[in-house]
Amino acid sequence: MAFRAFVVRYERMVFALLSRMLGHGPEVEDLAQETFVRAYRAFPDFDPTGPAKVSTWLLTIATRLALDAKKKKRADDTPMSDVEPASDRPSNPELSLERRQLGDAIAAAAEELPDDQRAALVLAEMHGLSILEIAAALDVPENTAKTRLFRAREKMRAALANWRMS
Amino acid sequence: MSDPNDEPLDLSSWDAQAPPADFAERVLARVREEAPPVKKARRRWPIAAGAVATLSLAAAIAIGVGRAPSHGDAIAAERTEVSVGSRARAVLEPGAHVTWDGDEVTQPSGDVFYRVEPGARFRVHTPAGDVEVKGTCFTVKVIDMQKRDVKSGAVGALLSAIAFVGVYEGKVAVSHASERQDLVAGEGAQIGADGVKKSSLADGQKAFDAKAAEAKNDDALASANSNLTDQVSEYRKRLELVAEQKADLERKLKATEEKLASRTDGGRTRAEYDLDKDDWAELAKSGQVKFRVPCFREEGWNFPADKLNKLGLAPSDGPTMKDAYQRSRDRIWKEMRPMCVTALGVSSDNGVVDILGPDTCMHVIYEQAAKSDREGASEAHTETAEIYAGMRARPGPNEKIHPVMKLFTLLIDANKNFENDLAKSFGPDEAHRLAFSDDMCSSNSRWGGGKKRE
Repeated sequence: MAFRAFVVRYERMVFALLSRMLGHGPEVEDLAQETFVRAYRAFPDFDPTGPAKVSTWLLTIATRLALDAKKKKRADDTPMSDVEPASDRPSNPELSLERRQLGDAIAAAAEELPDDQRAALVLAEMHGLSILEIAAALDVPENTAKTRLFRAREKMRAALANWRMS
Repeated sequence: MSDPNDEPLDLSSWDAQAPPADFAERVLARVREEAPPVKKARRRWPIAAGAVATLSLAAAIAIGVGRAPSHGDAIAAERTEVSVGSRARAVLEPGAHVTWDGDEVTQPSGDVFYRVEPGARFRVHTPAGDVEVKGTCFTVKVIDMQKRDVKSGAVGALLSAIAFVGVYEGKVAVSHASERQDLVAGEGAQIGADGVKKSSLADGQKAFDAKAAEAKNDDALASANSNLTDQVSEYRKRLELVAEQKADLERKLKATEEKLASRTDGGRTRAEYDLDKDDWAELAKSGQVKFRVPCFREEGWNFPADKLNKLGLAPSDGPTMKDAYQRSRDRIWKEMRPMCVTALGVSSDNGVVDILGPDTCMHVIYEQAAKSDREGASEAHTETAEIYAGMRARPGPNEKIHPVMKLFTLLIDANKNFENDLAKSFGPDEAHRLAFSDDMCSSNSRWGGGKKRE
């Protein structure tokens, strides 16, 4: 498989995960590059006949990089506000106003989630990973992954219900 | 774990950042920068920025080799054959690197065998000198001769490179500076700082291979030494990581041990107070009831961070737990308070009842009921156990119920109601684990004195 084709095939998926984990900004591209470089290095060890799909494997690398970056950010005491606020992001003209507002509300609600819950939510809802795959990606027991996803969904539902009412 | 809220969560409006148009090229550039066969000293042999056609680094991922572009770049991780320009094929040994633009080839390193179809001039430029042919088979081998201080691992400036050219067919012209020599089939020549030295193909190749092996050993030693500092730093980082992982594992171990203990204690598959119908049937025989009740603190129960950690919960779960305890207390007190008022014989707005609270009131209710009807209280013990054993129907809402049975059912159901409440936040499996965890704030009670069933 040509590596360039590999990058092109999965770049949108990796950007989607990272931007939903970290918010939009230049850090997303940095970590996306790092994701593919790590995948490149580790590719000879990847077992294509094993249970993990390539997409899941890549998402795992990206998720761990994102969680590490957030942890490091907190340790460095860098205010998270340097992540572009959802409402200030350039808008996509193809999206209706309501859809954009809903998208911003989702991003804002997700930003309130603890990192581990947010990761579980993004992996499950946006990338369709199973509980088992999420548990492997986050390196936690299956029940913990279930709990995190459950809590994240519940909080998102509550936040979006409030948004609709307001 | 089933999700009690079946309403689908539609997050499709959640905008994602799109990759820039040239993202794949940026990744490839980074991969190339990190590719091990290209050494800094070789930068004197520029690779044209646009000349990115082939790159073979690993068997698993190779960037399309096999076509014959007029310009290109190939680094071999394993023996690789490429078309060079329109009329040459080159076989690269592992580690070899060539770039080409038409019939002008640059070979900064490695061993490459060329077969060139007859035609116009075909040139191979090496750091040591140039090889020029019109059509033939020949091999070019290049070694970087770098001055190394093996002890410190420092690599000095590039002094020179040497190359060997061996001719199998046809005729080849080898040049270095202003010196030029022609080689025919069976001849070889070494090109270096001291010019072009001709030899037989076999002897020259043997001598060159010996030098290459020596250089490789030096390279390995220097590389090993230069990595020591990096390794120390890397090991330090790993140690820190291991310490973090250890703490995390200890927490997980504790949660797992607790789960295991609750499932295997005495051959049981459940915690001691997690009773099934058979357990209740046994209790009914001896006229006993037992139950586990969440703590009654009026303002809920504030879990410290270490307790939450032991329970396998995140600090952010603290408020949820506190609220669940508060709701549990409210549910119990709503039912128990009127019973306590009756038992005490005071008016319902008497504040004394609230001062006593559920902890004391449950004893007041039991004592008063037993005092006025000891036989009935004793029977209520056993009948309560029989209800939970499925041996007796639960009294309907309009049926008269003994205060002791009413008190017991309230307290027995309290933990189940608490578990159901937790399930809304944590899901049923986790809620069940938490409801019977030893690290939760609960009290376990066993009340004997009921009528024994023979």
